[in-house]
Amino acid sequence: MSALLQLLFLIFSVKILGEAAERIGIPSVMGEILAGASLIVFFHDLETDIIIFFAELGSIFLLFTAGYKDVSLRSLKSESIPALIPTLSQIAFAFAFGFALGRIFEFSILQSLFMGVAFSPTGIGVVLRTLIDLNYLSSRPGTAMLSSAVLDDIIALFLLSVVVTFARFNRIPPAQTILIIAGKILLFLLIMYVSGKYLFPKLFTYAEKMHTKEAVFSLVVVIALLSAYLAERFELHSTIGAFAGGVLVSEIPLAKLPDIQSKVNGLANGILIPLFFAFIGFLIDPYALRNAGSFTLLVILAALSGKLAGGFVGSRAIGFDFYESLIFGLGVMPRAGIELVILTIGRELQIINQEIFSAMVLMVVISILISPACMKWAIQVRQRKAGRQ
Amino acid sequence: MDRMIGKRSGKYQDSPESGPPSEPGDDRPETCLWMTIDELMTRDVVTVQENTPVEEVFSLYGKYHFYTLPVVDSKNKLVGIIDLDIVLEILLLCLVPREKYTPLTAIRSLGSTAREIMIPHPVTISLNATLKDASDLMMKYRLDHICVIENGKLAGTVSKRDLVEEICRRRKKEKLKEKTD
Repeated sequence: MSALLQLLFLIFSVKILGEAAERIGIPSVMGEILAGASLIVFFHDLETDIIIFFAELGSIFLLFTAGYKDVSLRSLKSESIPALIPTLSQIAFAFAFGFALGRIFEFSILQSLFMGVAFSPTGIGVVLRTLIDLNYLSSRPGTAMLSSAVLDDIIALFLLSVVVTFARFNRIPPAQTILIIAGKILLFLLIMYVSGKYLFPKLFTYAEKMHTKEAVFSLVVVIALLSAYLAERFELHSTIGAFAGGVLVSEIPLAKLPDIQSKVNGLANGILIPLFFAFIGFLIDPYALRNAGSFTLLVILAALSGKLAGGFVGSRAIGFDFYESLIFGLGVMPRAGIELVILTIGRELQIINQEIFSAMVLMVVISILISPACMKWAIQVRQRKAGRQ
Repeated sequence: MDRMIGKRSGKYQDSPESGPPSEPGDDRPETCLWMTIDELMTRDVVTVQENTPVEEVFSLYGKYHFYTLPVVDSKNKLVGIIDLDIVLEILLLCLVPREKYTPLTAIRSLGSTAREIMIPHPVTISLNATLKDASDLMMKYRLDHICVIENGKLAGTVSKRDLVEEICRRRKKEKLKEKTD
């Protein structure tokens, strides 16, 4: 009974606080994290197993829908190839800053590598509204940011799969083991590709003809869970498999019907993903944050400045002017969904402790709050300067 | 803009489904379930080439009252569709709800050709599928139009209106027949 009440409270509070966040002009994820953090205030005997179960499903569906709906390699135009330079530059800088910070605080190589990976993703969705509101989407930095966002997630997930594999051995494994792991990953990708090309389309054709209710929608959910499970079997993380499953399903016409997309979206963004964000809020430990002290501040500074510096340098290299480069750097600073999934994986595999986890989540929150405002300022300054000339 | 010339064929074929095949001249409403799409579809379809500029696509929507616009390549192979939802999303990007602000929506809003804004992999139906197959798809997934394919090439479209018109026509004919009997 208590579990039902807690679940009810969570779903209700993530919606109310998410809406409140949207109304004051910040992404709903902030309200959803806050809802999770408030859970401990209202309930003393928390049914954590149930919350963890839903949060795991949420993280699987977050990555699945990213592949299914948001990321499309086909959408990358030939003109977006130059954006590869600032993209790689901002990831390389962020990774280097994360790794260096880990080493400064005498973390192990694996922990430092994880810090680097966790610094790498970008939550471009956070700044899209600012770009649209200021009519800056079609500008050079705007289009570069969009191309960057698509590539960024894929690169970050690739890096994550490497670190997760290392984490299972709790050290960097010998070369022979790395080859075996690489073989397993390739086999997983091959199985997924063949299934996506030949098996899944046939299954959807059969499902479409079935008389049971919502067979096609159920099949999409089955493939999300199957891909996650298969990834685990091949020593990858379930969320990485879910992402691959999402990308493959996105190529199947019956799975992309607006009606089916709407149902998947309802399940994922209506219930499971907000519960995952609430779970993140629930995991934040204020005491751990206080104990972390200056480390938290350095995490925030390093994570934000890594993206800013990498984005700036990379943009300058492809001929952007000072302000365009600054705008690009500020635009790739925010972190969001994929970053939070990476952090929970690190915590779950005990690569990072509670202090690092809480500090990193706070960094995500700060980046979401300050990036749009900083980018807005830079765009307005550039527009004023352009107006004067 | 391309226009595929031709009217509804009116030629009867055997249905692939295990049901009573419709005989020529058999206008009972229940037999129309087994009519093939070939007999029902609209062949006179406005299409656009994949490299058609977006502005031209918009002006087509301003000129004609259709919901879905098939996008074809130089060999008339169906590569995608553009619908009114996409057009509205691009034209009113600033009003799109925040939850729909994804990189894909943004990239689509910057598209300059039909290919860059279309939905790839549309659901299609084959020429010898039946009215029942089409209505199943339409009712289950709230589709208004389905593109009809023959050997990978666009042969026409079938809409809810086509189905309703055919059924109404047969009902009317049946009632007239009952009266005269």
